[in-house]
Amino acid sequence: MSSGTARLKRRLDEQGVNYTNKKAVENFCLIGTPLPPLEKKDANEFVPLWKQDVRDEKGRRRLHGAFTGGFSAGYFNTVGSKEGWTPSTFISSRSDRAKQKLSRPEDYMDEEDLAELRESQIMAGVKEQQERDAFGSTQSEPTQGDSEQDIQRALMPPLEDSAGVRLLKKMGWRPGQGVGPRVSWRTRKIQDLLAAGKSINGVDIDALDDDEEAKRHLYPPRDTVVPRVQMKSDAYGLGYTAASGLNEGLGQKRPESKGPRLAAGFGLGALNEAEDDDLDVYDLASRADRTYMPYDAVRDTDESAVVSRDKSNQKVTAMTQQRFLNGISLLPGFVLSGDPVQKEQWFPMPEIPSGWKPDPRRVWQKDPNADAATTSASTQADAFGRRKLTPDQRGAILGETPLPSTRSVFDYLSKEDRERIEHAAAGLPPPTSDSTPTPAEARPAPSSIPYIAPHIASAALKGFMPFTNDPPKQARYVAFLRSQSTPDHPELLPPQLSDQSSNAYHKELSDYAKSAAIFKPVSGAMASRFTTAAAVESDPKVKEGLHQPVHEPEPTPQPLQEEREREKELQRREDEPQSSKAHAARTGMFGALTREVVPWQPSRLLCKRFGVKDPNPDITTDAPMPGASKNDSRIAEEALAEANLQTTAGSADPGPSSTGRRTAHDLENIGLGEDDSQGRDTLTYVRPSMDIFKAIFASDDEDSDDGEPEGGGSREPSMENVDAGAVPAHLRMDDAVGTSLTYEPRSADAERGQPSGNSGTGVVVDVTTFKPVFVPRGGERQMQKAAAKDQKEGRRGKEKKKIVKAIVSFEDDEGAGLVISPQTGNEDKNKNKDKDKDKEKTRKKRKRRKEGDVEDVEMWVEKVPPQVVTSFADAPPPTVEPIQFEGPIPPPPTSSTQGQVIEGPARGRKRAIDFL
Amino acid sequence: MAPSRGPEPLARALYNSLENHKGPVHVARYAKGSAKYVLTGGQDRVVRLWNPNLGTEIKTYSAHGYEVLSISVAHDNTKFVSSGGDRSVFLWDVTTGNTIRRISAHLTKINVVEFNSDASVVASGSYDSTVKLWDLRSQNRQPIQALEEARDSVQTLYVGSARIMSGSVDGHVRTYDLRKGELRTDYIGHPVTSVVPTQDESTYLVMTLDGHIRLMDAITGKLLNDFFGHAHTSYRCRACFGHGEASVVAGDEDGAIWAWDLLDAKPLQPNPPPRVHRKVVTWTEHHPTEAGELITASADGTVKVWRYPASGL
Repeated sequence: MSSGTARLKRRLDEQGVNYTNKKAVENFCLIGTPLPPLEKKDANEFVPLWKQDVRDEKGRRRLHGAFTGGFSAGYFNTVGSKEGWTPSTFISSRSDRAKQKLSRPEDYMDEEDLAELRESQIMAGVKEQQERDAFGSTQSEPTQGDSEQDIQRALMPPLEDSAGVRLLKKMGWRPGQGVGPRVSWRTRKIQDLLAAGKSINGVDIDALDDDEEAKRHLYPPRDTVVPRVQMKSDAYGLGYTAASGLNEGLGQKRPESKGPRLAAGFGLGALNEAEDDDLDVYDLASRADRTYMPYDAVRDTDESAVVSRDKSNQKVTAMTQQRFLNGISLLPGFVLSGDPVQKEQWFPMPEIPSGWKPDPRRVWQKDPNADAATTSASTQADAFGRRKLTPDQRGAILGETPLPSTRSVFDYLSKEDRERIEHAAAGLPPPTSDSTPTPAEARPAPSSIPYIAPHIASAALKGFMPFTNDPPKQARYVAFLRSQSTPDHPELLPPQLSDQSSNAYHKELSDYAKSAAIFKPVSGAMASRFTTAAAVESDPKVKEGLHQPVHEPEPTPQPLQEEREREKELQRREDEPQSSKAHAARTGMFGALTREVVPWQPSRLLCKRFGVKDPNPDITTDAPMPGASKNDSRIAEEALAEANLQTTAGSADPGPSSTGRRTAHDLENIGLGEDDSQGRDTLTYVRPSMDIFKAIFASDDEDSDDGEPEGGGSREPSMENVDAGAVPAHLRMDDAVGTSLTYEPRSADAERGQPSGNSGTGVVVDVTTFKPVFVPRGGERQMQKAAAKDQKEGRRGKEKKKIVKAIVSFEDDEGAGLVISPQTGNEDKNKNKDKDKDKEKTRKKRKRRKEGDVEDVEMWVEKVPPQVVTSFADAPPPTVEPIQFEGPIPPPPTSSTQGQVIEGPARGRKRAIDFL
Repeated sequence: MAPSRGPEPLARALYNSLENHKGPVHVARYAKGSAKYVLTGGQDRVVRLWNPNLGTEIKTYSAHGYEVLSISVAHDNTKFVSSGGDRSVFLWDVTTGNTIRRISAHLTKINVVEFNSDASVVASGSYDSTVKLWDLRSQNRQPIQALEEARDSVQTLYVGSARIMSGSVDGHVRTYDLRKGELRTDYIGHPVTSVVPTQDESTYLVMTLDGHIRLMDAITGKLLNDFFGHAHTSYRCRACFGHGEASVVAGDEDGAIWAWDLLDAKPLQPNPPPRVHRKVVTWTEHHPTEAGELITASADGTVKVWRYPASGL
């Protein structure tokens, strides 16, 4: 607040004017700049937010525009523009990499920040030194005149002197003077001359200046010139002048040349740049100031580069640190060795013949017994020329006493027993060699005995017993199952009762077969979720109605004991396969008994990540997996698969209907759900002949309208003309026996737990036209449809009695995937007959249109209500009776088709009550 | 490897005791390469990095919300994975100490994780009886493959160059051979707590809860040797090979460290060994290159570094 205001106040006071009164000081004219208000403004007075602004110490406004949050953001103070700060736009470094500029922090600083930065970059000591140099007398060059220094000193504030300078000053020294006693004018002149490097001989110093007055005074000596030592930047010794070449010796100056020295004799074109080859290798001078990089020494091959790197590194560390790697310093006089203690061995890559492909299978096939650990393998050499020795053999060669635990139980077993145990361990049906008679042949009346696969029979033995309330029936059931589980012993079959007709006997057996298929333990994926109870619970019979305590005689212990024994036996049987493994493990007989080998498909990506070739790159190879020969059971399976192929080839021949029945999930019908006929139109679409196109597009004939828009149905006739090869095999209506069989080996495959999804059948599905459709509840429908088809065909060709039907079921236990089961679908036929009659009309209509198109008819068969299985007891219609079991041998349930399951109509699970 | 001279005696002089863990230490792994560092994980939900030479803790990695059950170090020592009760696999950067990735891997706790040789795949074995293989090169949330053959908790894994071995409580050792495309299942009969193959992968060491350690032939599945004497009935312990695979080393549930001659299966002296841990020895790992160094982790919260008495280094 200015003094003017105060004076005005005082004067007003003197005049008695109350200047606090507003009216008194009211002012109506305005001349000049108004004085500041008399009352001081409170600095903390409230100002509305929009009036508040931030200013820096120089009064400039800060926080402009949109930026009200930072310090000096905005246009006026800092970076940016009127619109605000513009961030740099993204520029892809891909296209112009060279132009890419890193933004520095300085780009974002205003002048204050920059000044601060500059301040902070100067170190404290350096600053002092600079000041002292600027104004102190320690400056080396005495070029500046005294007056100039005086002016500077006068202008600048006095500096803080160091203690030494202060002492010297107290002793009479002044800045700019040398240290020492004062000298005469003449001495000083001599010193000047000497400092200038001139000789004083022959110079009349006195005559230099005539100023008499000057000679009468004493002067402070000149300041000592501090010698400037050149920084040493070369590798030569102290005092060595580099590169005194011939030219220097002759007193000539070396020609100054910029750039690299080029070897004489080779000119460089104007456009050429000097390269390494052109340089004068003998040019020492240019070498002297060349910097040596650590890796310069050798750069020949990779190998030597590795070595040299080590060495040069080692040198550096030896010179600078002289320490071991763990920090302990070296003894004086020792140098760390460059060579590692263990040298890495380098082997040259073996020469790979051109066209070689890694195929580990070939190696495995070469010595199939490598894993078998049999004595026969002892002489075999593997692919690398080494002898494959098992530890046992090696021990025998070395004369070691064999460990007691390595003795196998196999050594004590006969061959047959061994095989049986193995199959029991593998949970698979025992293979029957080709020489043994098939059960079908061995059995006295093969046609009349329903067939169950032995493994299903044995599984059913372990499972729920449906006839517990009827002990004799139960006993017969068990006997039947036993006979089926050991096909070599048909004599175990329950005998036909005397009062039983052959029909009834037959019925009974087929009932047993069905219940066995139903009451066998849960299979595959389900089985893993449950554990079998240790004891079989026999549910007590619950009497209906009110319970009346009746005095019963003490139950004889006999049946209880029997029951208990039976339970025990059951239990023993139950964990037999497990126990053989467990027993082997318990007794330390590890080896083949405790080992299971199954194929496993690593995912493709996994193989890639592990750098391993996909073991099954294309599953289309018909050759069995070489690893299969490891295990006998695997061999069995292979044989089984082959046998399957043959038998089905033979059996399916007479039955053309079998071709349409195939529902195995192979490549062609994956995604089709259970409905085979789906997507048929798209799959079998063949480009129509040119005539049709002509008919449509070329002329206006009347037949143009029946060309295409009718859809798949109307196109069917043209299909018959189509070359059979163009139609996928599974879609061919007839005469497709050969191709339909190709999938059969995969059924064995499926049993091994491998989904036969990509089994190669040689049939190519056009992926572009392939349209997967999922049918949610197709199982039942499929069955009915199939049954209806049976019916139809039965009507068509009455002489065809044998109908082989393959149905996919998940019946197999032990994690097996699919089982192809031949089925005699006779019952279905009977049941469906009436229903089908209702549909006869429709069918006939269709037939008229498309004669012989079985598939299409099948497509239109309407849904048949589910079968009631209780009707097994009913007498079947007499007309169909002969077809049932008396006819020709049903699809051979030979030993070679043991993987298959014969069963009644696979109609989903029935209740136990249905069988009672 | 000079088995004719017999195995070298076990390093039994306590060199350092790493004691920062609170609660049981479940796993202690050497780093790869020259193995100068040790990573330990325990019930206190942290992974600690140690210098066993100096006995100092270098770094603590804490992000786990549950106990740490397994650690595996990448081949280049830049990363490691850990797993435990929080059902996910944590991939860590060693230097920054941050998790690079967290894979929600299983439905239950993950007993074991293991890298493959170039740390592009990590395998995790869980209490939910599956082994899952995860691709670290992609950000896929689905595993490359899940191995679901085991019927019980998977306790141990080994990932070799072309095979994956898993040991499960169901008493099976499963060898997934990628090159052959087959799965070999060896039934041991007792819950398997550790499977450690030899370097040539022709044999492997199985530790089971019946108090036996078995040396199995990987090719035929036969038993080559049986080591017993130690107490092992209920905890996950790990047996390992001694130096040069000439001996077998395992800690037992009383806190003693046993060693056997690989060839004649006789316990090395002293027999019985002294009790050096107060509780069960959960992990035993021999130094990969150094002859006389061994670490043991125990439920008493300590990790001990053992060396020869006059170890000069």
